[in-house]
Amino acid sequence: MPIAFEKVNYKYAPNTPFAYEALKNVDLAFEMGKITAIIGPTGSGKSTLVQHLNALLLPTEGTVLVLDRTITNKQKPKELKSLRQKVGLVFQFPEYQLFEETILKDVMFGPLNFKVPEDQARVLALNALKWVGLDESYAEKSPLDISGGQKRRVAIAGILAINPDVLVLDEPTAGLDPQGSKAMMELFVRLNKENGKTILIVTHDMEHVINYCDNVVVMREGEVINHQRVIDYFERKTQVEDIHMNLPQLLSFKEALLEGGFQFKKPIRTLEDLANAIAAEIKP
Amino acid sequence: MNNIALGRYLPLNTFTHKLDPRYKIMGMLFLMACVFIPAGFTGYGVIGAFVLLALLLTKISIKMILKSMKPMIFMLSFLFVINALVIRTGFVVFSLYGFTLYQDAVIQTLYIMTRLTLMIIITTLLTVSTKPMDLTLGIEDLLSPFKRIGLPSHEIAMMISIALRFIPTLIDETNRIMKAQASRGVDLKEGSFKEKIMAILSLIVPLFVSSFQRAEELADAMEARGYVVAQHRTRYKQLKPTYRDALMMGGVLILMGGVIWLSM
Amino acid sequence: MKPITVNHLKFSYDLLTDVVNDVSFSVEKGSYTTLIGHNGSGKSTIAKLLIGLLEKGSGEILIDDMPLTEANLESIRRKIGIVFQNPDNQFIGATVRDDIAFGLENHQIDPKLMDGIINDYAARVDMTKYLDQEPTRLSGGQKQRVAIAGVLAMKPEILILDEATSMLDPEGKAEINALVNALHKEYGMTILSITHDIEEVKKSDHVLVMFDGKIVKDGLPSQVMTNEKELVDLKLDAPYSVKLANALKRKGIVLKENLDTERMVAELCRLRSKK
Repeated sequence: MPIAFEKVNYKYAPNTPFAYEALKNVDLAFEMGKITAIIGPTGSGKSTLVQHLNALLLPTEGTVLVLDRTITNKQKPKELKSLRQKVGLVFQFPEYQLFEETILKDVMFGPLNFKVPEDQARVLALNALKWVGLDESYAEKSPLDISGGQKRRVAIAGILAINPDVLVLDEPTAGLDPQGSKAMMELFVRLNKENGKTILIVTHDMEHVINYCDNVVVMREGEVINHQRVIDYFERKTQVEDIHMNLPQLLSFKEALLEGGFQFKKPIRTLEDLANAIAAEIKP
Repeated sequence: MNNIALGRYLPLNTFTHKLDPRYKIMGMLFLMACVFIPAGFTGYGVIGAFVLLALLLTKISIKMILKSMKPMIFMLSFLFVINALVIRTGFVVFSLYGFTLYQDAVIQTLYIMTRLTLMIIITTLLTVSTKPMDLTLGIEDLLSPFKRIGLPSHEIAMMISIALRFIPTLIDETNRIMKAQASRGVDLKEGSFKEKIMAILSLIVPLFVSSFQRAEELADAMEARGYVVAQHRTRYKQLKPTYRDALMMGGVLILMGGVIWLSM
Repeated sequence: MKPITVNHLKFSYDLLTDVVNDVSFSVEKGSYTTLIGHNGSGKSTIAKLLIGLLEKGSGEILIDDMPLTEANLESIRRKIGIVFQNPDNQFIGATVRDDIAFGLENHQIDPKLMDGIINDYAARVDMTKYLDQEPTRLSGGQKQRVAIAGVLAMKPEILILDEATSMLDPEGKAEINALVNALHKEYGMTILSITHDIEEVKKSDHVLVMFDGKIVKDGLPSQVMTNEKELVDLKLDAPYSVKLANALKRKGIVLKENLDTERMVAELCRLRSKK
C-alpha cells in the first residue's frame, strides 16, 4: 500500500489575484518502511506537499494515494479522520500545540479523539512518553512548566500515541541544540527500525539527510526534481548546488581533498570511511 | 466573501485618500452630527447630495453600498413591523383586515433607514480612504489634548498600532494551530458537546499562551530599543494638511450650517 | 577599557536554582565573541542581564567600565544593540520603514532627519527594496536584517545577538552571518553572539562555553573547540574537522591543524604528496 502523488497540482487562493501554484505536476511514490528526507529551498512546496498526506489540503488537480485511500479534490470528510490516525503529521515548532492541564492528558488527547477508550489511551500515552525519553515523573506536570526541548518531545509523543503507520515531520529539529537534535533523529531511526514506521522528514539539515535517511526527495519551485537513495544523490556535487543548499560536511571535505589530489576509489558514506580512505592514501 | 469586507482600505489615489486623517475624522464626526439634526427629508436630501458627491470623489460605487446594506434588510423589516404596530399618529395610509398603517410609522421607519444608510456611507468613506495606521495617527493627534487630564493618548495609539501589526500574524498562527490539532483528530463539526469544548480549548489555549509569550518578547525588544512608557517620543510620520482639507472642512461646515437652518 | 565585563554574576528566576551561577568574563573591544552552551545553560539569561531586562541577583556588570544600574540603564542601552531569536516578536512597526523608525522615535531624533537615517541603514542591510513592505511578506532572514538595521541606526558600539539565526533556514542564517561579519569588519563593533552554529564559533575571536549556569571554558576557538570528548560531556557537538582529525589520529595520522577546514585539507594534501 503506497503513498503516491499522481499529477498533483495545488493552487493557493484559486480564482483570486493572489493565486499561487505551490505544487506543479507532482508525480511521486514514497518507499514504504523507509526514512525519506524531503529537501528544497524555502518556498519550494515541501510543506504544501506533506499537508496533502493527511488531507489537510486537497489537491487542486490530480490524485494522492495514501495507504488504502484515494484523495482527490472531492474527498468525503468522514473518511478523513481515520486517515489522520494512520498518517501522523507533526508541524514545525509543535510545542505550540500543547494545551492540556497535564502532560499525560495532552498526550492522551490524540488517542481520545480517535475514540480509543480512556484506560487504553493512558497506556498509549505513557508508552509514547517513554519513547521520547520522558519518564512517568513528567506525567502530572503542566506542559507549560518544562523546557522548550521537552515541550517538543511531548508534542511528538502526542502524535506517537496515536500510533500512526506513517510519521510525517516538518523540520522536527529546528531550533534544538546539537544534542537534542541528535536524540530526535535517533528516535526516528528507532521508530523506523523497531516499529517499521514509514518516516518522512522535511528538513534543511544535510547532515541529518546523509546520516539518518534512506531516500531523499528534492523539490524546487513546486516541482519534484529528484528522488533517489541518499547514497546515490550525494554522488554528484552539482545536484546539491542546483538547489543552493550546502553539502554535508563529509562531502565538502571529500570534494576538497579530491581537488587537492586525493583519489578516493571506494564509496565514502561515513566519517570512518573518510578517515580510512585518507589514511590509505597517506600511510604506505 | 471579500466583497462584503466593505469598509476595508482600498489603495486608490482619490481626493479623499489625500486628506489628512485628523480632518477626515473630524469631518466624519460633523457629518454624523448633521445626520441627527432634525431637518426632515429636505435635510437628508441635502446631506445625501453631499455624501453622493463624496462617494463619487472616493470612487466608491453605489453598487458596493447597496451590497453592504443587504444584511440589514431583515432588521429593517423587523423595525418596520414594530413601528407599524406602535406608532399610530398621522393620517391613515391604508387599512386592511383590521390592521391600520399610519403615516408616521412609515415616516419614522424611513427616517431610521436614511440615517443608518448615511452613517454607513460616511464611515465607509473614512475607512476605505484611510490606512489603519494613518487612522491611528489621526486618533492619536485628536486625543492628545486630553493628555492634560491624564488620557494616555500616545500609549493608546501605540497599542492600537501594535494590534494592527499583529492581526495578520495571529490569523496565520490560528490557522497553523487549527491544522496541528486537526492532525491530532480534532473535528469541530462532529462530536459530543464535551468534545467540541475540548476542540475549542485546543485552539484557544495555545493561542493565548503564545500571545502572552509574544507580548513578553515584544516588550523586551521595545525596552531594549529604548522605549520608556510615558516618556516623550518624536514621531516619524508627520501629518500635513493641504488645501483639500480646508476645502472639505469648509464644505462640511457649510452643509452643517445649512442643515441647522433647515431645522429651524 | 572593556566593552563588557562581568564579575561573579548570579541570577535566579525562582530563588531556588541559580540559572546564572557565579559567572565572570570580559569581552575585548572590537572582538567577535561567541557564547555557546546547551539549552538551559543560562546563555540567553546573560544577554538579558547585560541590557538590564532582568535584574541581577548579585555580582557586577560593567559596560564600558561603567556599572549597570537602574539610573544609567537608558544610556547603557544606547551603547548596546540586541537582536533576539524570534524575527516576528521584535518587529514592531507596520512596515520596514516604521520598524527602523521605532528606535529613532524612542531616542527623540528629529523627524526631519529620520528618512535619511532610515534609508541609510536599510541600504546597509540590503533592504531598500522592501522599505514599505509589511512583516508578513518578509522571510525570517529579511526580518532579522530589519532588526539589525533598526539597532544599527542608533549607532551602538556593542552588538549582542541572542540566537539570532536559530529560527532561520540555512539561506537566512548565511545572510545574517555574512551581514554581521561585514559589520564587524566595517565598523569594528564589538560582537557577542549567543549561538549554536559551530562554523560561526570556529571563525570567532573568543569563545565562552556555559554549562549549567557556569562558564566552563574561556579562550580561543583553537583552545576551546578541539577536545571532542570534553565538548560531548558539556552536551555540545565538536566541529566536524575535529572529529575527523581525531579519527585520523586513531589511525596514526597526527595533524597540526585540526580546526580550520582549509588548512586541514592543505596539510592532508601535503602529507599525501610527500609519501
